[in-house]
Amino acid sequence: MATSDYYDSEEELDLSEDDLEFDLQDLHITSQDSEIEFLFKSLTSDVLWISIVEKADHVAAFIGMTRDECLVLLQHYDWREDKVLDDFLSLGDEIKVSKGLALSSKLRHSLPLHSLSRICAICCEQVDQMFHLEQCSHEYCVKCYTRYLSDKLRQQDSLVLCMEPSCSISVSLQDLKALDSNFPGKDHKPLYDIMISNIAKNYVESNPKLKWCPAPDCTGIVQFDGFSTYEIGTLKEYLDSHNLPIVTCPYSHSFCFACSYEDHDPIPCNIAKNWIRKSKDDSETANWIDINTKQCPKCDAVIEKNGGCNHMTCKKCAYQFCWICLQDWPLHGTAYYNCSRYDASAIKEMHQKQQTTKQSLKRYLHYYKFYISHELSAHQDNDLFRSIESRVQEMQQDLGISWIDCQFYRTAMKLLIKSRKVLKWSYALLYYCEVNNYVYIVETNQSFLSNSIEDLSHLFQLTDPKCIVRERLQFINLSNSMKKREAALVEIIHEGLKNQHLKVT
Amino acid sequence: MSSKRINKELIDLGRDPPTSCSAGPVGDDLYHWQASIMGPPDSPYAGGVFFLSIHFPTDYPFKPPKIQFTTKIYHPNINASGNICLDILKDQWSPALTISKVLLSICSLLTDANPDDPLVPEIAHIYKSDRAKYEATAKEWTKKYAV
Repeated sequence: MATSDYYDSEEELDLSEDDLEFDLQDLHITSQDSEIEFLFKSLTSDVLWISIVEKADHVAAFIGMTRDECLVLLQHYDWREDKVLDDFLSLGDEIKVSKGLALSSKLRHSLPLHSLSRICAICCEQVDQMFHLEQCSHEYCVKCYTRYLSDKLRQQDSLVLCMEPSCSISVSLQDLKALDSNFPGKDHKPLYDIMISNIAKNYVESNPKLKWCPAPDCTGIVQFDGFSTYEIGTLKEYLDSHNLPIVTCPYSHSFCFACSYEDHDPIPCNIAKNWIRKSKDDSETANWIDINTKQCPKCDAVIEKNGGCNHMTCKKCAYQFCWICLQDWPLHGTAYYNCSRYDASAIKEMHQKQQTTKQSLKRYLHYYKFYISHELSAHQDNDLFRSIESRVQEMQQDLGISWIDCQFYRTAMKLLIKSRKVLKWSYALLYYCEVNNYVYIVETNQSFLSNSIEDLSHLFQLTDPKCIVRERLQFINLSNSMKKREAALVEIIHEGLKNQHLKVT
Repeated sequence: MSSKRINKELIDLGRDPPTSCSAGPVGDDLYHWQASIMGPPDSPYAGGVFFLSIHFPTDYPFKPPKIQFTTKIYHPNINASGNICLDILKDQWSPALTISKVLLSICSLLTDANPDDPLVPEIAHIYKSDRAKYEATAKEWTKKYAV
């Protein structure tokens, strides 16, 4: 799906389906600190298909056509039942002709008869089995038709026409079923199934209240169901009042409904987007450039010194300078090299100029370092999470502890991952904020949370099930205090953004 | 499989040649053809003969052939390197189309340009704002490059 490239974090992927039952509340609430909630439903693709079929059946009952025909019609009208009915009332059965469901009576009489020759016009081979759509009689061999349709369906088309270019008949689900029956083998992915998912895609994309989960290969869908209050009517109003519509798909991936990027609470979508773009572009490169190069004092060309003496000649502008002090080389005299000019005031000025450009880079790298280290730790936590299943089982079996008594371990890990995420995004936010006293408060809260995270993370180093059970209270206490600190940080950031104490540049 | 189909098209072209165009392989390579189109009489390209190169992909006819003008032509849907902006050569391609049908479509593109979906916006602009100037330039280019 198109949005998946925004979603580069895999960290929630491993929260498998059966995790859903536990502490969903913790993950599910969209805006913990504000009174207004963003209501949503998580749907699997099967559940979605049922509602699509219901819609088609509903129309079918009105206009007396089949479900398949209505699925095609609805796509032509952006899934608006009223439009279909309007056009049906004015056009009658002609609607079938205009939307590729039937041939006009004139064309029907001029159709070619089934040819006796069994040569397919596409591959020019002698074949046994020819195929044509139910509504027309343009015959091609089964193999070519299948190849044609699978190409079309792979491009995510949901309205595919007969292979004959002059024919406007749409391929129906029935036609695909008929074709699929020729390939009973397992290596044939049924065209019928692909078509169903393409129709579902078409449906979701035409409905702004539905969004695909952006996690890679996830087929979950989230349906927006309004707000808990009537004071807010649109998503834009909701965002403007400093709320974030964080939702969770049926497979436990949480993401932002507004920008289809992973959960970036507590920071607004545009900052998260800018940050991602920035960090994807140049993080490592910037890092390397910062450490290994200097700029030519005259033309600002970036120079890497990979050996040789300190007498530099810029390849670009031929300016000769000293690598140490970045000053004009002739000033160093003709005597043996000794850079004693380091403290001269002119140099200071120039350095200052270089420093300001460097400073913004440094500032970025500073926050990026924190951001990325928590992202990496979250990945590691996630690996740990994967092994938790077995550890919990071990605890249950070896020590004879009930299932419910083992849940503290899972819960603590989930909270840890969530807190890391909040902390990670808060660093990204500070890069874009003007430095002031409020930022100082945020930073203090960040370090509180960071300490809590480290403490809990340290506790997770325990591998012996006995020790883990012994430390049960410690797990619960630490994760509770971490949760409180996380809430405090989120609140302070939300407040700061709302009251503009945090000035985003 | 594709060679059988290309051969068939070659035979059909010989048996029932279209009036204003011709096509056939260059040398021994069945997958590389050259085609020629006569400028349609009711267009500024009248009197010119335009050459095109055709490359068949190995998965022809499931993928469209790659067709380019090798003769310079002044047209809103054909650019300086000879690429043609024509829907049936892209997403509207159908395996049931043939080279002869495609060449006929290109002929009609020469008669009726599609300035609303241009490949060369400058030419499309002139086509829409100053039709006489467009026709004069197209005629001049035809005389210069295609006669």
